[in-house]
Amino acid sequence: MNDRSILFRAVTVAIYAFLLLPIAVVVVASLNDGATLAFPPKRVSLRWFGAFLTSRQFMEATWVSLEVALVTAIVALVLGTAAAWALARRAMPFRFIALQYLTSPLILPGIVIGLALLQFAARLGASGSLGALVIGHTVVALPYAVRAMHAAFTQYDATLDEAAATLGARPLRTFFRVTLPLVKPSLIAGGVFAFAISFSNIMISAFLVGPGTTTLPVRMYNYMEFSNDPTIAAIATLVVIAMFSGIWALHKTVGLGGFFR
Amino acid sequence: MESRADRSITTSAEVELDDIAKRFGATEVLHGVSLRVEPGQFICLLGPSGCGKTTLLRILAGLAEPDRGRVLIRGRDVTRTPAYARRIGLVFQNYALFPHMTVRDNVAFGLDARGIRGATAAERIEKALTLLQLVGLERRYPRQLSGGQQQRVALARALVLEPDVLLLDEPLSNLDARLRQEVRDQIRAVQRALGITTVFVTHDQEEALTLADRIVVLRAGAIVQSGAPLEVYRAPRDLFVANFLGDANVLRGRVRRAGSSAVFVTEHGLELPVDAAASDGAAVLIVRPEAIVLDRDRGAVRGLAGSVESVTYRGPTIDLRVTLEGGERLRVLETLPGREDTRVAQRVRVRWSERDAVVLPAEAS
Amino acid sequence: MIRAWLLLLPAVVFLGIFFGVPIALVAVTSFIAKGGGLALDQYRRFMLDGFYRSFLTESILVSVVTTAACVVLSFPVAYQLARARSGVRGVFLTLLIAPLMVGDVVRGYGWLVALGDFGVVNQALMWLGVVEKPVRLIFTPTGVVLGLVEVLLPFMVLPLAAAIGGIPAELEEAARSLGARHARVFRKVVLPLSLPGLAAGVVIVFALSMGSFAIPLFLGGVKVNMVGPLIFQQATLTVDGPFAAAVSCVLFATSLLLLIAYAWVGTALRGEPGGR
Repeated sequence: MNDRSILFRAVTVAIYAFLLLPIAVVVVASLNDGATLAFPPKRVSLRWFGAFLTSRQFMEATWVSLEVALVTAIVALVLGTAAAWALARRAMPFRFIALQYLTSPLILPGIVIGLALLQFAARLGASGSLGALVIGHTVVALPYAVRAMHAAFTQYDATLDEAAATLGARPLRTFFRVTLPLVKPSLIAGGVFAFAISFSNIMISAFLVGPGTTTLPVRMYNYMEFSNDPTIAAIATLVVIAMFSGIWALHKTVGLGGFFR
Repeated sequence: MESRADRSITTSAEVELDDIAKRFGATEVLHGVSLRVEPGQFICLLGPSGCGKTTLLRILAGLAEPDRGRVLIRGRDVTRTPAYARRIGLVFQNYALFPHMTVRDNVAFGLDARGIRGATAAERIEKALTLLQLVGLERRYPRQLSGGQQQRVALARALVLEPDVLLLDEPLSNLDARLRQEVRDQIRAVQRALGITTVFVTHDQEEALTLADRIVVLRAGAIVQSGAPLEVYRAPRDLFVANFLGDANVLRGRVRRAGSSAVFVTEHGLELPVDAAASDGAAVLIVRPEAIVLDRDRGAVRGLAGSVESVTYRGPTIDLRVTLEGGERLRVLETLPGREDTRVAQRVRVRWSERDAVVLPAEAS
Repeated sequence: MIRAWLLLLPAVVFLGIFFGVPIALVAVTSFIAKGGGLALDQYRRFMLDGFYRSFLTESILVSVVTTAACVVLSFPVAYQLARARSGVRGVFLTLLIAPLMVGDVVRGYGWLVALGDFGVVNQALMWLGVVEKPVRLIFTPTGVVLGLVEVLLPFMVLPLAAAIGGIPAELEEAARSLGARHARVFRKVVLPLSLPGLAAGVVIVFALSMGSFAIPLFLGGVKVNMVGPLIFQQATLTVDGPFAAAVSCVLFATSLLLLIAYAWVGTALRGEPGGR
């Protein structure tokens, strides 16, 4: 470990505090008893959580978000795993370009993707449908799946697949009995990331939602437009708890290595 | 090309490689290699790294496709058959055991792939485990095993399927020296017990000499010599083989025929009688260090005169360097030392039997 | 032998149809002039009208400041992350990645609360005695920058940490043993060798900042004019498809150019560019 001074460590801690500031604020604000966002709260209560859980609109939106996120994660994983496996083969030309192409939705402006999909969907008469949402989310979630699985496959010992072949296993059996179990950690990580990205997505959802297919983030944004009460803080807190525990569980079981690269 | 003598067995070959060529990108790794392996034979593909021996093995296994040529196993053309449809067993250099499966599951993998389960499978697995002394380790995972044990699991896994051919890709190179000998003997014992045709790839000539029924020496993608260990050792066909297997003293010069006899004249004018079959012209004479007789007798007249340059005692053997009057330097390996000390600068005479010297035309190097 | 291409195809085709084609359509739409037909009208409108052009310049300004702030702040964090023991590193990584998963709405909302006249930041400033009255942070460029830096910091830290992780610790120790002090070691050893990661981070953060939507919308309102909210507004409120498309194309082109420049520089700098 380095011998850096206390100052250095303190600076780092301060930056982490900055990073977590809005999240901490949201959590504390959710405990407000009153209808205004006093900080710190004068009186503490959980009533806004109740307001969220009893709101039909919010519950519907949550359900939509969960459904879409689940399907998105599965589709992104299937497409991404297949592509990553192909890219990890030794003899693949254009590998770098293909990788950049598949991960480009990550840094090309989400807002443009949202707009593009809106206009595309409108032309096909599909705007506002669940399918459009899933497709839109998959576009932005795919890079996460590809990156997680590509890291896993490049580290994978290919002689294991060869050994399986010499033992009489056909390619499909080898993939499901040997390869997949050994990349399971990355599969789970990729899936969790894809799920989370879809669930929290606002930029694509904002363009693609319709009546009956509103996602939670969009519903929250709409609510924020006309109301100031801490219901949003309560929902946000629940999301924070869910995501943090999810990522922590991932770290404890499977490792976050796929992103530290 | 292998010698005519190898074709003496009349049964059809277990394995036949016919004019196999392979290139990777711009490099041609194999230039039309042909090879026959008889049933039950243990052959070694021996050569330096990069000579193509592993590529050849992989082509045999079905893990690589040749650009030209055919692969036949038990008479069946399997050139275009993928690895999983060939009846071969392959032991990898790094063993390639499935880390997420126990020893038992590893061994059972191939049987399961073939649909053999239950009691039949259990019986075969038992036999394989017993044969390789793995009983008691069934529930362990590969990471809990020693190198030698992992090696044996890899063998058991391949053998339990009763393949037509067993292939081994430098299986001993990851083991420490102590284990290497032990596992080497085990492999040979198992092979003999089962009578399974085996192709073993190595760069270690000692392994090849001890294990093989037949050694196939490869260099730069082609077979330079093939034959029984003793034959390849005693009668190397070229300088490369002579140097690769064991040590060789090399003298350069010319062969002069005189009627029914021949004489080899070294660069420095020494004349040595050689086998009459040697052909005229520039040649090299090869003699193994252990074949040279050192005469310390002051009054000796037979042999070439020289003086001792260095003496190294190795326990059961002495390693001496002798410089001849003409300037040639020879390495001599003596067993049964101990009678008298040999001093540096001592004048000695060296000689060897004609039969122990190999004369090769100068181009063969 | 498996045809690897076949497995690559679904993902490539999927993106082609649902990413490439829509973007291409947007490009086409952007050329639709007011009275029908194809022209550069919308682009002229965007680039020549001072009002709209200010959106672009403001976005660039905000993005530059955000990126610069991220560069400065990410070094200590990235360094610690790269050199941490694996137990501690897990905690660090969780704290960096989990906020990313929480979403812009939650974080934007948090900043909204925090930056209010009586929010945390102002309360802290007043408590520390730095100011006497609350500072206006909501709906100011400062507020937007603060929010963007917080949201985008992990995107700078991760590639930078990966790059620093690739620098053997022995190099720094060697420099120190030769008498160099921390600052010098940083300038001469760490900084130059971590440039690929830094470059990756800069490209990502700048691109994401230019295209950001939720944070500028929440924290900037109508006072801070950035391109992201403009596109959204034009697409959904005023429903001026072609104009929104034109603005989008300008934004997209900027990001694409950045990406290409980065890839080009990256491959020029020996081997594969530093990953993210």
